[in-house]
Amino acid sequence: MIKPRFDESNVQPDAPEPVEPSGSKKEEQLSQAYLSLVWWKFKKNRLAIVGAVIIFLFYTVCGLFPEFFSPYLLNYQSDYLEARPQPIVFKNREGNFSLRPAVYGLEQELDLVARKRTWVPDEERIYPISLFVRGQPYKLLGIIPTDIHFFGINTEKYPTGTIFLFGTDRVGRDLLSRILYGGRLSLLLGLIGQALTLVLGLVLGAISGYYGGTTDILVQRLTEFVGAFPDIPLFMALAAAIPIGWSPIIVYFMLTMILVFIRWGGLARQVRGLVLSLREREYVLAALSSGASDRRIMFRHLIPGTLSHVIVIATLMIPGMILSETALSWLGLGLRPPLTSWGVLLQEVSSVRVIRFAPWQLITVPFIIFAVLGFNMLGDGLRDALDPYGGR
Amino acid sequence: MKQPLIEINDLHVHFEVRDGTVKAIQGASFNIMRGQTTGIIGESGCGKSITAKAIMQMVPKPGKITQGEILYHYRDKLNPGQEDIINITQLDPDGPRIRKIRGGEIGMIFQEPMSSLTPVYSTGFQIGEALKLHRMVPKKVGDQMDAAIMEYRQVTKEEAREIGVEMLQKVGLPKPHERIDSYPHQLSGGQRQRVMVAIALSCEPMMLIADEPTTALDVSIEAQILDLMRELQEREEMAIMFITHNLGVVAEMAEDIIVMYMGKQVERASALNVFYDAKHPYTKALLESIPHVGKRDRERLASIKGMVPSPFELPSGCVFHPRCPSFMPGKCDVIEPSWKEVQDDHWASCLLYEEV
Repeated sequence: MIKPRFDESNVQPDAPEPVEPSGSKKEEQLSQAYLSLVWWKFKKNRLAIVGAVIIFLFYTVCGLFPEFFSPYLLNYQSDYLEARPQPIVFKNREGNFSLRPAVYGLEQELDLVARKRTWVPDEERIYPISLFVRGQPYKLLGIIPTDIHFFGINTEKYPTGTIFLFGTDRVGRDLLSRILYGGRLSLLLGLIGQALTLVLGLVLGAISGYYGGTTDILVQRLTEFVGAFPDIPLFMALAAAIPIGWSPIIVYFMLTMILVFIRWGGLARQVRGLVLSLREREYVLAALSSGASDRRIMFRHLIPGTLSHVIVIATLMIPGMILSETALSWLGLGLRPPLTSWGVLLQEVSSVRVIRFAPWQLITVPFIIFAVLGFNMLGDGLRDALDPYGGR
Repeated sequence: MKQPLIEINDLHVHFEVRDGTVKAIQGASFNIMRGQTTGIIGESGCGKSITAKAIMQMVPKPGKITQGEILYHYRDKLNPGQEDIINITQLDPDGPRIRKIRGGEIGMIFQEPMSSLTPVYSTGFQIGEALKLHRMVPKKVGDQMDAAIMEYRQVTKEEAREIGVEMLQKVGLPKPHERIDSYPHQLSGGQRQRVMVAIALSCEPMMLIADEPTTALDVSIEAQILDLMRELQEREEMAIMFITHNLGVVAEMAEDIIVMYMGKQVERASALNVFYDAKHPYTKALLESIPHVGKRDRERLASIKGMVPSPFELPSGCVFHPRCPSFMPGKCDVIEPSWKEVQDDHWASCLLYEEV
């Protein structure tokens, strides 16, 4: 290679591509190479795809449109207290096989052993399930007023029909609807909290790694101090410190902030380690010698270099965030009713009475497990994919 | 006719490390002239790069400029008649003035083109970054009597791209319109170094510091880069400080050569004089250790005997005396030689040329 003069005249005239590919197209191929390599590697990983689909479904169904996907509204109290889940059957009104799914009606029964009234399916009454039915009015995304629900019973035709696929709770609220609504708070807390953690961790990690010396020692001791804090007592103290009169939304954001405050340290350490190695690269010296400020070097030249690593860590940290919320709310230290999150739902089943008489309310647990697994699969897939030149 | 751009007077740079003080530069004094190439040669660790970094006020920690001054003769591009003298050693290393000098008035290119470009940005972005910081476009804001009032403004994004393409063309990169959107990993070593040169030159600096710019490149690319630098220098009237340990390269490039050894300059002369009439024994030894084409078989290549002394325990007297072939006992190990003009415009510090 005497002179890297590679121009169009060197291209074989009988090459399969057009002899003179348009500049922009070729350009795109070149700069897309890394991303397409990442995508190619990600696509090959089935688990990662499954994880991505799970996470996508969770965030569209629970995060964005729970009102649409749930048959009832969050706080709609029906007359059916602690009704058992109504199973889906494939029968028509006459009791013959039909492809259209339907549910049985509910019937009150007196349980003499447990000395309580229960609702059990009545196989005589069959209500077909319809898609896009009119139900209780709500505002889609908080803006568009509508009353269309993804599925449900056509109440105009069957006024006595109900659809509680996962049963109801003590005051007669549909559990499936509550899980979908609850997922919104839990999943968004994971996302918002992780975003804040990311910002805090990146900034402090970059400052710590880039300046070194006293700054580094201070930041590192701070992360150790925060990390060494016993979380649960700290949460009890902070939960007690949150005034009872605060609106639920503020409590929600306070909880997010507290979780961020406890968890930024790990990320900051990782970023610091990466920045420590990157700042010795010549391009930092080159940037300095062309007059770039420290801030510019940190945020423009160092942090982008850490991002592929950081995205993976951040993805893998989100389930921890969701689980923390669940655990804290279950302990009564996090979110409290009237807010509904997965942790709050779990707290409602934390008594022996409920587990004995309404065990179907534990259905929240598999949702949490699936969300956590989904994030882990996605994160693992990203880790393998973002290092397309690595082995495996 | 020859006017100084940078005047270094008695510069000392010390590194305080655990085992003591390393005197990386002890008393360097020389000038870099406007529009002229000054070559600095010497072994590894003799303080060449540190001198360059001191000019940019970028001495790495724990190094410190302990003594001496670096005077920078600043001329406004709009008003070249007036000259301000700035002492760079007095500037705050993180201050706005030195940041303006870095890149804007003194550009620098490095040894490692492979890693000198940030891998996550396109070449256009990296050229634009320097331009946005430094290149000011003069703008007429009004008239006062006869004189126009000029002001500077920053370049816009579109202008930066245009200048970027133009610079890439100037440094001889084929297809600059496409290359401006390339990422560093899509370029070869020689192309990356060209991009580095383009970045350094895009802000039209008064001086270019080239710290071993071709060491990592193969010879054909090296020749291209050197040609390029010379060509651009002629066009832009820019001073070049060329740091290398490659005597062949410096012979080709420099008009003036400074030889450094253990943090001191030992000889300074025009390129011709250094190569044909070297005065200092160190320079002579260096020249002898170049392999010659046509030398007889089996003859060993001459080398300088001994080792570079430990930087913590510098020899007394002349620092070169333990390795010097013309060592004079009782003199060289006692008396420190002074910087003297040995011949017309040919300086050296050696006791051979002093009456002691």
